[in-house]
Amino acid sequence: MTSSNAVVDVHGLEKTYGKVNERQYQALKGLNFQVASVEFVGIMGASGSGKTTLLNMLSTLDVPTKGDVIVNGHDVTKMRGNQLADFRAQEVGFIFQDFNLLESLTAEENIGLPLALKGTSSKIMDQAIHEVAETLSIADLLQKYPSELSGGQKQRVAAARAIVHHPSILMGDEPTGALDSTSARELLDLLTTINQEQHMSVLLVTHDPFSASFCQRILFIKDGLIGSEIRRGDQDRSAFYQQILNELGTFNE
Amino acid sequence: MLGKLALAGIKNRRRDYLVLLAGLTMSAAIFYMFANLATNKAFVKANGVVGQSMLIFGFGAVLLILITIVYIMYANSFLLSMRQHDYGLFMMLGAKKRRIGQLVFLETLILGAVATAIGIVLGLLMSRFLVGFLLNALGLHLAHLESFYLPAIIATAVLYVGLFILASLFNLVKLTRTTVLKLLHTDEQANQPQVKPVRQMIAGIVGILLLAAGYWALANIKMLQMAAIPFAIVTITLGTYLLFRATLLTIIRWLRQTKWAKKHLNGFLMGQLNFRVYNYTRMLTIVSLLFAMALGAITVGSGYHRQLPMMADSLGSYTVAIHDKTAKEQQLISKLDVAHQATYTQKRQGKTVFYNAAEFKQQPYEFNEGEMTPKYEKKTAAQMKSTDLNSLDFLNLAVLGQNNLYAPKMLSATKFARQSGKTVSVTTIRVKNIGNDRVTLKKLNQLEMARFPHAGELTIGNYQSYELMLAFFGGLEFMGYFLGIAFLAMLASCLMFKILSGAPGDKRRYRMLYKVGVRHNLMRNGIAKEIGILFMIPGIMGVIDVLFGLQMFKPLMPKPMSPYLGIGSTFAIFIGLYAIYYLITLALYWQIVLPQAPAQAQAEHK
Repeated sequence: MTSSNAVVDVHGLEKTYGKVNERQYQALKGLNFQVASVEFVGIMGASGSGKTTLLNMLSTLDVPTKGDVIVNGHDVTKMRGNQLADFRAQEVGFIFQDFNLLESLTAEENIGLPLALKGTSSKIMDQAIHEVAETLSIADLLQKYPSELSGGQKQRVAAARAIVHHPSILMGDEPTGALDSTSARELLDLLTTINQEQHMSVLLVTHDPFSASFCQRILFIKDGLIGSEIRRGDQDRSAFYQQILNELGTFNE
Repeated sequence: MLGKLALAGIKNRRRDYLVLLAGLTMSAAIFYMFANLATNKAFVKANGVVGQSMLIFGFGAVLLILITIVYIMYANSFLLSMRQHDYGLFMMLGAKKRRIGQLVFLETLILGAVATAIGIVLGLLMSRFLVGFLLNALGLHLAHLESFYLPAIIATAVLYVGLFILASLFNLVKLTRTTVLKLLHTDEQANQPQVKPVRQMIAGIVGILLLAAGYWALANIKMLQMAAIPFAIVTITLGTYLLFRATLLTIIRWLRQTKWAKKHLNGFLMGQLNFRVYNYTRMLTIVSLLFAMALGAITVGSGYHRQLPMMADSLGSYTVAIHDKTAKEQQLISKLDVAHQATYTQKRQGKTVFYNAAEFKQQPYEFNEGEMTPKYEKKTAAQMKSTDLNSLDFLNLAVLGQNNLYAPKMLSATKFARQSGKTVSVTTIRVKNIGNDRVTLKKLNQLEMARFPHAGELTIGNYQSYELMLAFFGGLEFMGYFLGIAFLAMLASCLMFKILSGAPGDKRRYRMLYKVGVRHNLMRNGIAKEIGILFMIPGIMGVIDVLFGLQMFKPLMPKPMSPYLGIGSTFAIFIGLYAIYYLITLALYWQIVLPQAPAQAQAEHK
């Protein structure tokens, strides 16, 4: 795969925690991988394998010790201050395990936040919000506050906020972690729809094989390195699920 | 074991506890200082020459007690908000409610007792040094002022310990009645207030009516006497509360619908305020009252400070008259900022004092022709009429004995030369501002009085009138400054507690915004606006309260003084102080709430 059509290009990524003269811990030990345009990639690994660290690097919430992270042509490791904030606001859409909705704002205001930050006119903003709300079937929830929504509804609102400004990549950090199985399946179907119909790349970090089975390709991280990689290819989802379980079985040995 | 855990919890948050303890200690110290003044009968009697000053002291005491109660309520809720998570955790781990109850009760009471004890000691020290400093700065002397006064210590201790017992009981009931889950997740709960238009309208109208009634009562304090003050406190408090409740939410709701709310963080700001203002209504009401009382008290104090010299100036034409000035006196005179000075030769014979008309041609005598405000007019001997010669000011230049003055007579230069009698030179001096020169004037006056003593009733020159007025109004001036500073200090910690206790929740929210990609300076500005609005609302209301409330002091500030004269500069200084306080709170808030950028984290890493 050439890096020209890659949305994410990670090269020699290392992250070490702890100060030089203290006890250090190397969370990432030189990762290399790419995410192609309109690809749905999953990253799996046990707790402590470095999944969340990796996602924090990709989303500029944390700074790598070494290596490059290029997202949609921008080298995020070279960005500073406002550039970082703007990058997060424009190029990346996030879905978090704990939703991260602002409880003082209505669903509509939560969804509109990325556009408001860009300074979009209110007319275009309303239009975009209603479009995305239709797609995610949450049009009737727009006036509600997060405290009035169920977990599944909250995560839909969060998904709407993540894609309303058409970012180049959607990143999910265990987005189904706090959901019941029905809501989880709905959300994963939704992510698949977003990936296929809106042609948006999706990067999903999870430790749940069921969630992972919705991806096209899965990278397994172990002790700060990519241990193996499997592709769904033409298999149906349940077959892929079985493959993931098998892989996990051998991977964790 | 649980006690140890609780203690460890306190250790972990010692900075918050220090803020709390400092606030409570200050409050107790201020109360002691005030109680020391108000309960000291000898002091009040000696300095309360004006009939209403007893009323003012009573008013101050009632206000301070009320404010103290509210203040302790806030401090207590701050304490509770700090502790409930820990106690929830203990209960989840299986601690008995009874045991938790005991711990809460003890913790509150110990904190209160320590704060009271330190506060009284601090109050003692402050009475000794701060009050002395304030009196010195204002040039006042108050009789029977002592720093150690047992009844005041008892009053402070009883009030504070009593209030803390109540607070402990309140905490006990509150903690043991709330469920464990609620205790653990209080931060995450959000209530969205309902808006009912008709009710809001009625509340708003009732609020305005109550405010009007309160302002009316203050303006008519002469008629209503003692009743005016409790009436005004109740009506203005209720009125402000209802008005805030009715209008603030409606305004925020309306702003949220506009296009403006859809730009940058404005929507978030409005959401935050919407979410807060309702909870904050009571706090904003109290703060607006504290603001009004602090500003009002300082305005009155500085009004006296500024206007007493002015009033003194309106009474006569010269500040001091020095007879046969000595070298030492001349030295003092040279330090004064003189507006007009003249020296005349007197010859005193029998009951008549003779003046040389030629001297008056050279240096015309300055008369004060103004009624309320001084209007100076210079006259030579030829221009002087007999009424001028017999004006009290002019007569006072030569005192014969008690209630007995020489009769003045003008002579031509040649006749004056031939006139026999005791020759005395008199120098009249008018300074530009008595207040500025009062230290020098005091010395000068003492020297003059030592050489030429005269009976008490008579005041020669405006400086002596000024001293007499200081004795009358100085107590009020002092009270004004003192209560103003006390209220300002309490206001400061009230706002600080309330705003800082909201910080942990905001920390989470700003972390989310950071993740979503909000620029750092946008968040900074957002916080500055939010805290700024929370500061501004009570500030504006407080200024309105003061503008109406100053009516109350009209009977205490006889013409040409007025409580409204020159309030601009006082307001400016006060608002400046308030702004500084805002900036400090903001800086603290930024530090607590704003997420650290990874670049910074990395810099630390290297």
